[in-house]
Amino acid sequence: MADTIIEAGQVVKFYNKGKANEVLAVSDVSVKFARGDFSVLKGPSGSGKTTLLSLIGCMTRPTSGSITVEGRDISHLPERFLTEIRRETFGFIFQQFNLIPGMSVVENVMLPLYPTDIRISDLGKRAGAILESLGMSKRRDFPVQGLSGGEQQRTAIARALINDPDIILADEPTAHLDTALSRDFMDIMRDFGERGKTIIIASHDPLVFENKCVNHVVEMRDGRVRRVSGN
Amino acid sequence: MSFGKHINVLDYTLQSLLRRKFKNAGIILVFTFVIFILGSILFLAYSFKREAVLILENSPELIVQRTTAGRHELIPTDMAGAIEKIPGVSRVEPRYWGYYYDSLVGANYTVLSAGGSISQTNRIVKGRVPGPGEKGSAAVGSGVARARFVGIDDELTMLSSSGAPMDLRVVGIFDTASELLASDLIVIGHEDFTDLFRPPPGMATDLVVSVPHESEAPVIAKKIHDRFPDTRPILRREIIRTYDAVFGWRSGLVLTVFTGALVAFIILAWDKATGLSAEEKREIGILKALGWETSDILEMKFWEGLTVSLSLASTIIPSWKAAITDPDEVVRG
Repeated sequence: MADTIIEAGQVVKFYNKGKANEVLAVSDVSVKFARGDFSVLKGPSGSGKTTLLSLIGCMTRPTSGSITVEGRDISHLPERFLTEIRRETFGFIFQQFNLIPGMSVVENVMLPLYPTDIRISDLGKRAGAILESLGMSKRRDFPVQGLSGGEQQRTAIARALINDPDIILADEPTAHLDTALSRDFMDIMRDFGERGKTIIIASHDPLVFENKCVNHVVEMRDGRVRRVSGN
Repeated sequence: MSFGKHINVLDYTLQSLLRRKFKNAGIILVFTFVIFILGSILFLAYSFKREAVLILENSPELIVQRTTAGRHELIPTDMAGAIEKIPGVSRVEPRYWGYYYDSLVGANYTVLSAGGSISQTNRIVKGRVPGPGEKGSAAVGSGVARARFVGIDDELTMLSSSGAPMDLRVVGIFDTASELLASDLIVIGHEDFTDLFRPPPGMATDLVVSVPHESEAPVIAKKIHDRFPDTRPILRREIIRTYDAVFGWRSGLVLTVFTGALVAFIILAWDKATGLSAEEKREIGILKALGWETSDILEMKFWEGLTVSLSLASTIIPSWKAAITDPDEVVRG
């Protein structure tokens, strides 16, 4: 197996632990992701895909077990360090795209790097270049609420790339897209995969996990890993 | 943490505010109104109190009144000699004053016989105050001058207690700056005062006691009361305290009336802060998921609070509560 970039070891994640509404979202999950992998976390709704993606992406901490990102155990890091890793290492694409209405396309793309020392003008140039590579130059200053679904998706992708991340995480990115736009999305992801980015997508869409560019599928059910294929 | 980051967060904050410009402009408008009202009340009440204190600074340290059945009575002037003998008292002067109802304009005036104590307040007069022995002259408050349409050298007619008209020439007008206490005041010579009210001979309205060392005034007041149990010595600082209480109470009353407006504003400010609710909380969740730290969010809300309302307390706490929510909540939409 190639160089491991992310490793989860016996990870358990409870939500609302000790309360009446306690949920065991992920149970005893151990899985590895190699650098440059095009991985899919596959499984039905409630199988723990999104939780595992959140754990990997330093958005939440495991209740027990360990998660290593680029050789660094992040399971017990304070929030400040998690944020730093999140900002430097990961690009996120959310199910709902989560663009901020009222702001323009380029401002949305710049969002992750506002709390940094990069000058706003440089950020604008960087965002402009990414938008151009995704064929979104004409929409640069357009308010995001007026975009079509495909354009919103590309804006979300551009935003995930603004920090030039090593790893791109996407949660059900095709859930709200038609077949053509879903294929389009996968083509863009394949392109990034070919450029050496590690891609991890949580999805139960066959258009995603059956795509030829996917080389690593982690199948989940009831919070556990049932099968790992590829690699 | 470096400077560039703060500039960027401020830049983002201002963009955010512009996105909700109508809401924020409304809050600024209401806030300005509330601050205006509160400021006006507080400044006005303070200026009243300050004015009263300034004027009373020149008033006597101790006033002795006589009471009968709990009501103010005229005091025998020969009591002055006995009080003057008390150690610490430098001088005792009888003071003559009363109320005059002006049926012409339906107003009440305070009429004071000119004496040593009133001449100390000359600084608040345009023109001059009549001397104690002067006849046919008066200094009037600006309220009296307005009500009777009189100026300096004009005639002011009053009716004596015998019903005969008395013509007085206005020689001075109390300055408008002292209107608070002197608006309804008329100062006339002692002979005119006697003609106007005909007080019984040997009786004064009260006695003014000069005490060079004011700290001794309470002890002297006690001695006077012990020797003349039917008197009521009033200390200057008690009068100042009364004014303080009266104006404090009045401003409190106005404040109470405006409590509704204040509460409405607080609700508005709170709603703005927690009205984060759906839209803003979601935005904070997105920012956190994209790599903003809790401190960045708080900084943004700090700039926002500073810009919009300067009401940090009402903005920062709910913002902090929203900022510490798990970013993965947003992933689930």
